[in-house]
Amino acid sequence: MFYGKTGRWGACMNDVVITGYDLITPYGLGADVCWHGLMSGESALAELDRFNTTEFKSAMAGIIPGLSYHAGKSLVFQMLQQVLAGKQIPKDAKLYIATLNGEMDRVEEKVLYDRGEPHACCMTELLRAAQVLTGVDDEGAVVSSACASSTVALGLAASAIRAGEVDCAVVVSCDPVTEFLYSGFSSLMALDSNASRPFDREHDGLTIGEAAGFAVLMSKARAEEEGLPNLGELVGWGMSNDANHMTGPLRDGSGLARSIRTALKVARVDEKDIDFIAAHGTGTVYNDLMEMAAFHDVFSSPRPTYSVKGGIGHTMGAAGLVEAMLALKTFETGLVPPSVRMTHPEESAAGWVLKKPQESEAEYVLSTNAGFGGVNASLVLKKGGAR
Amino acid sequence: MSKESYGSERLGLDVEYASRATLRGLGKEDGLFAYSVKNFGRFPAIAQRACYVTALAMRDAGLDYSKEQKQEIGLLGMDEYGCEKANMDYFQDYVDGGRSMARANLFIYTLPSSPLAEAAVHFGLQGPLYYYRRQDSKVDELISIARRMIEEGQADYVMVYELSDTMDRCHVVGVVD
Repeated sequence: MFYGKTGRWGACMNDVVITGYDLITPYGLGADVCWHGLMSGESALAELDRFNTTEFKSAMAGIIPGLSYHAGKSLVFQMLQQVLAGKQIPKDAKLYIATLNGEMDRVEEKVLYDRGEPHACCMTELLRAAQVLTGVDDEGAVVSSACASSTVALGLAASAIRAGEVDCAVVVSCDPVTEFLYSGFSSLMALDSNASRPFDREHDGLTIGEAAGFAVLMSKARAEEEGLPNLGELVGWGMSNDANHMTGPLRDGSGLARSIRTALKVARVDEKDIDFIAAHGTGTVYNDLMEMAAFHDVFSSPRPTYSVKGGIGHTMGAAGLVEAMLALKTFETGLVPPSVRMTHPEESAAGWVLKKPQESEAEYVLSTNAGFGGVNASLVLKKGGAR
Repeated sequence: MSKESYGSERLGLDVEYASRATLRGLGKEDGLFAYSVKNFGRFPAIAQRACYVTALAMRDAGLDYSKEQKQEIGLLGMDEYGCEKANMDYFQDYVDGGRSMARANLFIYTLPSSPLAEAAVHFGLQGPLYYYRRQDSKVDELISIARRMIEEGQADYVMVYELSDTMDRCHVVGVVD
């Protein structure tokens, strides 16, 4: 299927603003709660008792308190129920659900106890649940791109709004800590034996966390017309693939660098305009070095950089949305958060990654993620107006 | 690709095979792949099929590929049940093994984007890659997204996949100068 060059993109260029968002993370319910947790420098990672971990390399995880496991509703449903309760989401919003794999505890229940209907643990049930919990008319779409899932979904939603195909979208992201996931990452030897320390010279692996969140995106024109707050603008998005290996990233960071450059191009800003970086920063040696290689390649000088994963763990498909929304807090507060649990930066991160909060009159942030299958995704967000 | 045959409308190619369950070797025999697919025998069937339809679609669209040269081509895919079977296979194997040691080579296919990722690695396709599925599963929306991605400069071409138990299709979306 081939199209002629129409120059269509650019003909309709709606600005895309974020009018609402919230998160539930291992620090508890609310984006503010997570923000204060990170700013305190205290980690929410702890030993988990959700399932037996004696055979694994680690027993650490970022767990949301109070969720029940294999006892009725799925973990994802419980997280979404809490974070979406009482939220006003426009009924005509296009719905995107970003996840690694959805309700994995239902797969476990099917195998362990033969519970559930056939295909109950595929994405169909999750789509139905998200539609009900958000209250939107759209039946929704699942977007899955490994640990860049919600970054990709935010980019897709923004792209549709900018092109004038829709004027409002809601991106919902979610992934839980399950034995399924934990055993898998353990088999890949990817877990830190303690809690993860992204960008630290002692980094040794990742720690799995769980989170859910949502973001409402809208054309600026409609948001202004409806008197909704402009919490930040999503101005650029870029996606790429390493085309190299199923689980390991390109060592030189060139795959991630391409996605960053595309995001800058879509945003129509220069690398010099980026004031700080919300990095993926998983804590694995391969990821952290790859990511710093990409930053060194793209940027002409160091920028304040951090990872939230030492605080809440690697929240998988939810990570991109969590990190992009937390970056908006820097615009609101004038503070860039520290990279929790990083005490001595590894060589390439020195001068970039923050140990302590840093004041910043930031206007633009770059948020990056990468994942299995060689996926890379980057977002550029701009400071919005007053809340 | 259907249960009975695989082929290309543009090339007038229609080849019957005995069983889609025994696809292994098909590409080698027919010269479908320009070079052998690494670890192809270890792929789950859906990843093997994704590679086959990619080869057919690229040939159909006149797109060459090589080990040396990666291309700005994206991959968007949808199917009916995501990676449900791979999920069940992985976790059942882990449980059968006493819940102490999982198999990494099963775990890596428990993502709905994994079959596309195998195709990206083999064919050197370094554009955006993700799984996208709506309830009504219409390919038109994916083709529209692919077009927008090209217009934004995210990729030069996009492969759009419809994978199912009965038929696999791959559409190549591109721009004509």
